[in-house]
Amino acid sequence: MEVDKGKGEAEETRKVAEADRDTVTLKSSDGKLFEVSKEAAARLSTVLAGMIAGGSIDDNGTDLKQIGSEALENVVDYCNKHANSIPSAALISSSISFNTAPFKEPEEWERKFVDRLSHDALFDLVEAANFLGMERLLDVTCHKISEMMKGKSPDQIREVFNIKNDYTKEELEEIRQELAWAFYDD
Amino acid sequence: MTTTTSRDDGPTASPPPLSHAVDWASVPSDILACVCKLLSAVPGRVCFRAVCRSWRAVADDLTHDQRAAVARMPPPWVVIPLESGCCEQFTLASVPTMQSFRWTPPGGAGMRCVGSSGGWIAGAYIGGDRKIRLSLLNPLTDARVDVPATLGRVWYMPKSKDSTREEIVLCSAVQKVAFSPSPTEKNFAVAVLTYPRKGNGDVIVFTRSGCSGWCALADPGPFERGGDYIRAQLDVAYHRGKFYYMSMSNTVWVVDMAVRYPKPEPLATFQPAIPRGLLYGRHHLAVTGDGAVHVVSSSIHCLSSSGVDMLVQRYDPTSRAEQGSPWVKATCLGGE
Repeated sequence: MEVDKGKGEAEETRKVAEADRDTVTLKSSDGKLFEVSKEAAARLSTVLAGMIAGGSIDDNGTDLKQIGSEALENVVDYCNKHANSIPSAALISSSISFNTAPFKEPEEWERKFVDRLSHDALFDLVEAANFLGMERLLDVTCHKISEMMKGKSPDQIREVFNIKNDYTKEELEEIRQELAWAFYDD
Repeated sequence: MTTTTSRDDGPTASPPPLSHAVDWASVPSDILACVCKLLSAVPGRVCFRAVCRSWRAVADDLTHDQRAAVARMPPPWVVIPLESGCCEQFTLASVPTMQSFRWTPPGGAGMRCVGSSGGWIAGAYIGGDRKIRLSLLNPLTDARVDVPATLGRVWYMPKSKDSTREEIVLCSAVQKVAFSPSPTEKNFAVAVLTYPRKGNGDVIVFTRSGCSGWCALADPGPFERGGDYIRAQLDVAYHRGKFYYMSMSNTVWVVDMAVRYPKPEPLATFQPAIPRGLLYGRHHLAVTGDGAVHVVSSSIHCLSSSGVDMLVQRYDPTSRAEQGSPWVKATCLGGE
């Protein structure tokens, strides 16, 4: 952040005061303020870490124009819970054989955290996590989404996620040919 | 620490409400890729890829990144049991690509694969009550439809280690099975070619959703006892709401399952009947993609000859007027 030279001294004082605080204030697109542990925010979000390190954190609420208050509340909630949780020996999933990067299974509290969300809230949280560069939260939310797909046919997946089947008749026939097992309807 | 009130940490009593306001098809592709990677190769990613165009693009990009990330499992598949008798695991292999995956039928108990149709597998097993039972299973979605009607009973404990005996019992109880596509608990129809049990000469039986027992299809005619003989001479097939089956007198019957009281009607009698004294003779029913019924007959006249006579006849009602018979010798089945 470029510091205005005219009010340099006041700015310096404010920055020192800010550096002393152990929380940062975030402002959602609809103007609501949330406080989050600075340590957790810096650890969990690459974007917030960059902002804190670069001093572009506004004491009166750092504007996050892309994130609505509900999603931001969940992000902040997640960060603060993470700050309070005692990390357990995370299990490397053995069931995902084709995966290249090892994925740590969500912990119990993380599961509960995403299980209580509505589809809309989950969707918004995924986007917020993506925007803020929160790798762990993305993993946890993606895991939840993949759980929602398990054991479902393409038709059922479309229904759950309200996705329009945009395949043309010809393409659908092609997929039918390839995946007769998933699609067969006489 | 938040400025809002904290929430309850416990699991919610009711599932999150469904909502249709957001557009999941628009989820950024790197997130979708992350989700796709978490799915099993089969069936997870196979189904994922089939949802919509943007999802297919994501899955195909993954394939470029990681070899074989999305398994290609075009039909036909081969179902390979991992052991004899009833077993708890199968290997399903796609013949064109030779890719495979391990499948554990849902529900736990072991079963024997006795037939398949339209991507579903018919599994037979001996229940805890020693009754022979049938389930229809979809290995891609793990859906399972249990057929309430049972096919007789065995007189020994089913958990015995004699897997060969179990296999013989199940194979003779379900010699051939045909069923409606995409079955559900509330909507299915199954026909089975079974063995004639004591006091019950029915060998071709059907049941459907809402029925607790089997109904016999028309009398197949006199037959000599013996499972192999019956299996060789009779067959049953399903096509578009109807079961087709044949009797010992070479008549093909059809029964429409859409009506309230299904009633078998003779369709046509085919020639030649397999004469007595033949070493081997078999008849099979097949319905081609255009809906035409075919009878495939094979026979071996003596063991010393290496040749097997094969005859494929197509049912074509229009030829009855011209040639006196609705059966036309088929030379091409219209495949590729």
